[in-house]
Amino acid sequence: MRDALTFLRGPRATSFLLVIPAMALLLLLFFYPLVTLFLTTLQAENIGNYAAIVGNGTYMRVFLNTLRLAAIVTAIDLIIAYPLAFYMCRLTPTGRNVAFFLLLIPLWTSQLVRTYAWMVLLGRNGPINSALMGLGAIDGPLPLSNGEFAVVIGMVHILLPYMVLPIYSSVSKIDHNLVEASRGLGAGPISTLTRVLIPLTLHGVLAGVSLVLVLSLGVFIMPALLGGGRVPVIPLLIEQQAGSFLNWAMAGTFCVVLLVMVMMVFWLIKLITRLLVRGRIDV
Amino acid sequence: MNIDTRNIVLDVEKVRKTFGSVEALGSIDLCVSAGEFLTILGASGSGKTTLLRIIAGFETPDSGRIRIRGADMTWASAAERQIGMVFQNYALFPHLNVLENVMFPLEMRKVRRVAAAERARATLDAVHLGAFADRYPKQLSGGQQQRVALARAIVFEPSLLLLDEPFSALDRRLRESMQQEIKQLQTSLGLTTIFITHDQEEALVMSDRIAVMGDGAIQQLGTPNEIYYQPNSVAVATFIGESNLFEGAPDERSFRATSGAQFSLMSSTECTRMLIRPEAINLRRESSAADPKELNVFSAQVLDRSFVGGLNIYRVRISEGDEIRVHVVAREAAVYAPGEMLQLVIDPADCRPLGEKANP
Repeated sequence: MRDALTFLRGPRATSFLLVIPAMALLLLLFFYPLVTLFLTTLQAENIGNYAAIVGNGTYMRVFLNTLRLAAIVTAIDLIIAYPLAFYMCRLTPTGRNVAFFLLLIPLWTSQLVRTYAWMVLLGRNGPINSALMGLGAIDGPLPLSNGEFAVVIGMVHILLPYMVLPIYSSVSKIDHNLVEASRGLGAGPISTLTRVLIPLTLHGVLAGVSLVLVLSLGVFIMPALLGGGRVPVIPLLIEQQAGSFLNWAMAGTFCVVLLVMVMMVFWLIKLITRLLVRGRIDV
Repeated sequence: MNIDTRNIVLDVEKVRKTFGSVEALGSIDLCVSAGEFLTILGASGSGKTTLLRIIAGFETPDSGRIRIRGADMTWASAAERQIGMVFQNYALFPHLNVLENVMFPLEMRKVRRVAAAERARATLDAVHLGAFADRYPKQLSGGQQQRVALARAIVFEPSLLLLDEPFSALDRRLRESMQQEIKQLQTSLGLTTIFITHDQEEALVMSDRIAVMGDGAIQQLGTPNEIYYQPNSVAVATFIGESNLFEGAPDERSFRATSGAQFSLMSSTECTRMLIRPEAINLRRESSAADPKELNVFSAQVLDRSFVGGLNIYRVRISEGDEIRVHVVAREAAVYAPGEMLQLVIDPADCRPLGEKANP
């Protein structure tokens, strides 16, 4: 037993064995199909797809719409998550456990179930419209479902934990003395926020932003079920090409374009992080 | 100590604070005059941190007033009070470099950037950190971080400087040199300073006056000499310095301990306790030519000796049965072996009756 442990913990060469299963799985199931996909889109009979996509105004509008939707969802999540993370840090340990539980429930339930729940909630005769009409606030039902509004609500809901958790982690590492030091040195609440708290949580914010942006670029279920066909995004184009037109090569090309967009977002945020996050902060 | 009222920088008046049902501070009164170095000395739980936080503006008192330079600041925010504070863990901003940290309070006071940088550099020079302006706090040693914290606390010329156990994280040698340096800086700049500590040695070395805190009250307020030589209670006597305490009863101009040992005093007293500092006691080998008029001579047997370099610390038992600690300057001639019979002599001026407060 002891020998086995020393063997496992031992020199780098032997401990490398521990990552082999994970690496093998990733290579086989993730990296290999991805490379195959990329190479397929580059084949002579398929390479024209790239030109077709770039030359097509409708496709380009869908790309921009995807980015716009992702940006809106990310912004709303950030506005909700930032104060929430501070609030959670000030809770008692029990309160914090409850808050985490509530926050993580969305991650434990099926996306599909939650999307259907939103369809019911936002529906023409759903509880929200009934309540508003019952109160006499509106005369007829509001068109809440089947549109961008519903898609944004659904995506904000699903992706919120990905924004809260990194921000919470950065906020919880702030030494409370720093806030008192800032106040004691003459800073008001606004200066303390802009000069101390925001700079110290920036890496958490950027991590959350990159997670939510990237995930919202690839969301399929929400636009498909809550969009009512009015919210065109890249994942829908991919599904359409592969499912309806059986044009697998074109779907693959869209996949590559989406992947490139995601990588550019990552790269951009990494650049911003390097420019903005200064000093020696323990991340 | 007569206090010139025009020179009072901080005036704490009847400040009380309770947390839930626990009384943290019970009616504190305290005045600090300009240029003074006042130490608030107390064990943890004595209320010293609560008092500091109320003075700094991080906590509000249940009742009472805080005045700074005559202005009522009881309800003012920390930012409005113009107090420079050095935190126990320094609380340097990790995302700002040394110069920016020191410039921070100036920026908050809308000092123009060029002027602020100039003043910050001058202050950094004063704490011998001029060469480190571009470093980040994480790249500095503990002592250097503390100098930055000090520079940041004094760069805006605050009316009051608060030091919250600033030396506790430093090793002994560094602590001593920082103590000297801060004391020099404080004297040369005339900084009115309140220093919080639990370390009695630090308090004695640095202070003009010491306020000994315990159980949410100031037990005694006085100069280091007063606190050390004339403690007003057992609590203060045992907290500061080493002590031999005797219980007993006064007997005209002497004090009779419960063991029967009789100590002559300088004047009559009504106290039932007496303090003798271990270093005020003399030990000598019995001499044939003893002065018969000499007071407080006891015969004593050495129980054990510990040698700590500059001092020999003896535990002796006098013939009446009391065990007494004696500190003797470590001359080689004054090395006594356990079991040796000696004479123990105490000047009556060093026998201090302790006025005990009502509560035991």
